[in-house]
Amino acid sequence: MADRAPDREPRLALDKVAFLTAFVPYLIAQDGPVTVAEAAAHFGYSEDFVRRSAEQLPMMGLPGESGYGLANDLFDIDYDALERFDELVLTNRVAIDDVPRLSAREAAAIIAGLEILGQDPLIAASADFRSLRGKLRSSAAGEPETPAVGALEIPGFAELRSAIAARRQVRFRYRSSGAATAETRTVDPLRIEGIDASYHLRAWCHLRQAFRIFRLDRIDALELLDSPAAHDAAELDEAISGFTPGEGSTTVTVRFDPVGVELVEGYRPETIEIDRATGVAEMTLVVSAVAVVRRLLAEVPGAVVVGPAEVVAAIRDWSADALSRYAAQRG
Amino acid sequence: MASEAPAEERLFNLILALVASRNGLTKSEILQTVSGYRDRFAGARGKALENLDRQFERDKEALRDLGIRIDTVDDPGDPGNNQRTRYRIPREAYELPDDIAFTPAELALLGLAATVWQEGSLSAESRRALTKLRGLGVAAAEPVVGFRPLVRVAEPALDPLRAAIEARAVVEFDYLKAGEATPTRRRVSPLALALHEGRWLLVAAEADGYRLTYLLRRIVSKVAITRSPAIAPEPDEETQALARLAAFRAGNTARIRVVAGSDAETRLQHRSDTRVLEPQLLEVHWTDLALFADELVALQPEALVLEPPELVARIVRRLEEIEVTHG
Repeated sequence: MADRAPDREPRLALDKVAFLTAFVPYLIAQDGPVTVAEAAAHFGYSEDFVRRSAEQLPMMGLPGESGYGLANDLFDIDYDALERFDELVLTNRVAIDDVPRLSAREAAAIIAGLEILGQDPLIAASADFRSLRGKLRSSAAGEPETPAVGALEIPGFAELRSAIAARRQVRFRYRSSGAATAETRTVDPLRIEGIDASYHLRAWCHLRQAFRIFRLDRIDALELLDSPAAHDAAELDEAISGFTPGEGSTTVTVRFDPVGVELVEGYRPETIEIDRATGVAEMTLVVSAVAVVRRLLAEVPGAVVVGPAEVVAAIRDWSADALSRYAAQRG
Repeated sequence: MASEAPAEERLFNLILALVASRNGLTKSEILQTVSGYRDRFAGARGKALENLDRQFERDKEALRDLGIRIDTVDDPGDPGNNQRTRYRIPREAYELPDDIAFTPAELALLGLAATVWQEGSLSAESRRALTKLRGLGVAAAEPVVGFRPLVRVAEPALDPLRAAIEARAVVEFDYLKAGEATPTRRRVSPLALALHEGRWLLVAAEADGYRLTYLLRRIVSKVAITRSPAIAPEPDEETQALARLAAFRAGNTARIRVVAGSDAETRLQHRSDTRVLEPQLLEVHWTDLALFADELVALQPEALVLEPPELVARIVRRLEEIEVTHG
């Protein structure tokens, strides 16, 4: 099984061509009939897309001597098998039998993705990981210019990964965002998820009796326990798919210097308006914590929160409080 | 006018025709015979013919983007006459070499690798690579489930810089140095890209070969790819750049007093190279002064920076600006 939700289809012509160049060798390589559903699951595309692509094949092929393709110059499929059994059988093939090479950039992109996975010591140590880079390079039409990936040094990462692989419980001290004190949690660790530079542990929390997310940089005093984990990643995925974003978020309006427009894109604003005449830019963004606003203010040149009033006041109080501490230190 | 065949059919037909032809096809043969062109070629004159010509040029580019090499052979009796140039795709350059095979476990890992990138060309290209390799028909093993990293940082500068590095071309862009109000124009040879602590970095050389590292986040204009050839990268440019960054970081030391049990304490203490000098007094290293100051501003007031003074000054200046503008 390739992807979990094969409900997609490529949108770009280039991606569709890539699919066709792979689909034909795939059909040729099959020992017996393969169903539309199997092919769709294999490629991670929708059944509808795979069926339409199969129906497209007999319209493609070689120009032929006359310039008007004769039957043998075109691909052909067993229509009967497709209609009655939803099976894919290629009955005439032309020109290609093998999968194409990767472009240098395609190879570079997937090698770079692999390097990110290799930040996980368990993956990096696997034989598959080590064999893949060389194979991908040899699969490319040119020398891949692969972006480098810095090492990941997160305390506790390796221990958590071992616990996940061994399906064992762990215990740690954790201070939730906004909580005054840390609590001891015992959890079934299920998966480490990274988004850009922030890493989270998804786990079943025995204290809360629910699936919870923990920031890795807030986990302290991690211990590996002997007790086996009671829950698995499949249950987790089921729980996540029923999850809807919580309330408690606010829409704030921030004015900023248009020179920083590329910077604010990273915060995924709802709207951005730039008045070229006055040189003023404004954006709105939905935030669930004021910490996001602080980070934005720290990073984006000329950023000022203009509303709502309670967020403006909170920012003012916060900056005044921080400054008083630096003043005290100096004086 | 008959309805036009979809672009992917025309492109696929072009691939098939050029692979199958032993001696290659001239442009006019292609336009007259390959399905997707021939229907538009019949009776086309003037503007329509020019459009078709441009279509053929774009299609050749598209095939190159897919990694397909198109060879051109001049007519020996009429060299230089591009009307008689023959195009072909050499089969050995098109096909994946026979001796390359992937195991089910490798394909499972590739399936995961292709979903790491959430944005831009890296995402599209890694998925395309996976689609092609899935054509080998090897069923993937159960995927590795313990780690799922996603990189969604969207940098508009990334795609043009990748293209420029590949083309070995000098680039120009406006760069907004942290803490400065106006960007300055830079003209550099792009050498390599690196993802470091969640940020994209460009390793580039100035005209005299001096290496500089730029944060893509701070490139605030479009990246212009010039026609000037770039300085060639050293073989391990990225590794060297990452090593330079590590050495630089080790030399940048701050002493910070944190509030016990605060978020600032936990997070600063979790940086891999932080030292606890005494309870709540940390020695912390950073790579980029301005960025580190930004991070610390966001962690106020729970992280009081004692030194160095330039870091304190930046934090205080930014806090003062914020206080004034929110007064």
